[in-house]
Amino acid sequence: MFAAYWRALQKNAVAYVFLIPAAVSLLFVDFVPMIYGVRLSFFVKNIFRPDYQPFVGLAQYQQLVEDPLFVRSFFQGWYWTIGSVLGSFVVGMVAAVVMNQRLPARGLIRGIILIPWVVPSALAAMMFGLLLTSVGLVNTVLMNLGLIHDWHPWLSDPNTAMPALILTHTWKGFPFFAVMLLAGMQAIPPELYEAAKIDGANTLQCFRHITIPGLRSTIMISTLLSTIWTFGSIDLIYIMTSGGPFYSTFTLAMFAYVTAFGTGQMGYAAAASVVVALILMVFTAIYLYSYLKREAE
Amino acid sequence: MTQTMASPKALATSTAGRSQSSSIRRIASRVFAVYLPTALLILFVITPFLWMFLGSFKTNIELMSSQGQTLWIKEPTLDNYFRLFQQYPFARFFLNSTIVATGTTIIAVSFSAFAGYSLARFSFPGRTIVGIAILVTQMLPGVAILIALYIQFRDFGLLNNYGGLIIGYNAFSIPFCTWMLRGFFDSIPKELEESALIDGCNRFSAFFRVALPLTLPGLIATAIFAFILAWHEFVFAVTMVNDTKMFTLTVGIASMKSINIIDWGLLNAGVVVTTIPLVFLFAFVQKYLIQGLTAGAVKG
Repeated sequence: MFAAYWRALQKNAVAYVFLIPAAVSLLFVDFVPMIYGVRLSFFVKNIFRPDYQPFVGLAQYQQLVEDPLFVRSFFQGWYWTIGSVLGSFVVGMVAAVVMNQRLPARGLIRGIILIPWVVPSALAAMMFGLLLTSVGLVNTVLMNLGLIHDWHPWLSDPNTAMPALILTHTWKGFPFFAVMLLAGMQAIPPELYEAAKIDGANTLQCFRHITIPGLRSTIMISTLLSTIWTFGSIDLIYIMTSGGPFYSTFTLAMFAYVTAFGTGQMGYAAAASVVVALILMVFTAIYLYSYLKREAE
Repeated sequence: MTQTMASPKALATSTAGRSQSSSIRRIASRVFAVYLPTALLILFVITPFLWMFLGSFKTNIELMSSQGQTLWIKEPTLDNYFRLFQQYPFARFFLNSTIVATGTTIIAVSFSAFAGYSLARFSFPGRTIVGIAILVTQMLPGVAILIALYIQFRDFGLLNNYGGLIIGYNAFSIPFCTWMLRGFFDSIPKELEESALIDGCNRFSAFFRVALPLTLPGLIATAIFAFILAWHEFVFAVTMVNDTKMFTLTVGIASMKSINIIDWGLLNAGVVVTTIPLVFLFAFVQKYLIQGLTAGAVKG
């Protein structure tokens, strides 16, 4: 019985050997920490009280559900994610259309449009943190356009802080959608457009009936990926508002991070991280399902 | 028949009239549909940088003026830059980021080349599971493993050093690079390696002598991606490192923001100093980036 396994191992030895460096590395820096994190969530572990670590089972999960900040972070996390993904998608789509056109200095324009992609989130956060101050660019532009009448402290107002963050993330994130959608657009056979033009379709109709359906799988992939990345990201939020003002920009991922490294409640934070991971697993599963379906085709 | 032949001139002028107004309409629609969005997009991207650039040469008094900012710099100064380099060791930050990013890239790309090749070329039991595992690991939020990694790194003395950061960065770098390189290996034809095998090469030399050279553009693109990802990373670095000397660039920039005193001129200068080299670097690697991204996208 084991002989069968041994024979399979010998037959595929090279394949497994090739995998060893990556597999071992991932085991130690990904899988073991994941399992450790799950285990940690069953214990109360406060980093400032190393001698008190009782096992509490699922109690901390119960605590999470009853924690108003956690519930609030859950909804704000979706506010942040949906807003950012939507914003990036819309601007990205516009950018993709632009990059697909025959324009003078096309390469330069493409290069400029992709700049936010090369800028680290931390840098974008600092930049927009300055632009959104009371006398910053945003206020200056809006005042000159007559849209507002007084300096507004965007990041200090609980009502406008999240939209300001979403704007920043849109600036940073749209190139991803732009490139993905552009690649998808270029994969649509030009004959479809030619046939449509002969039938008398105008540009808008072409877009609605050829481009969008042709981009369906690209849109799905990029939206899924962007959702997964955005939901768990805390770079921008941490630097720009640290979750404030008054926790109005606290997302689920921020909750997990701040609980761990702000208040030192490692066990409780681990439970929150597990919840975040589970939520993202749902999206990952959707992505996997579509990926495997496409592999089969 | 007679109708169309009867007045060719009338036909010609009416067609000319129609094409004139429609070509104006075409130009107008092109302006609105293409040139305007292009201009707006470029403005959207560039204006923050321009603003910072201008602001870095303004004095703090001017920057904080309640009358708002103007394009014209009232009192140009280089003082912000002098103070920046006095107060913050940017050279050190750059060095740290470079060391960590290079180390991560070398390890990640080499490990992933092997793993990606295996997934692309060999069919072995467990292949699908490994593929799924790689994909899932890539989608983990950093927060999920950060807590456990912090505790482990603290116990093993891996905080505040390059090794710790490089090891940690590989956690997201290896899955990503494996995924990308697998795609690149999938796209080169099998025949060349198979003929090498027939000629007596073993799998390793077929890999080194045939497959790797063929995927060189893919390797370069992946390496650039991995480098950029490591360079951009912030959360892991800010958690594992609290010694200023070991700050990476992203952490160094973020450290300029303190709750109490905000030195705006300094911040502007800091952003400019860190952005300019990046933008120049990007101009060089842009071609490879787009190639790499779209190759992955088209294949999915």
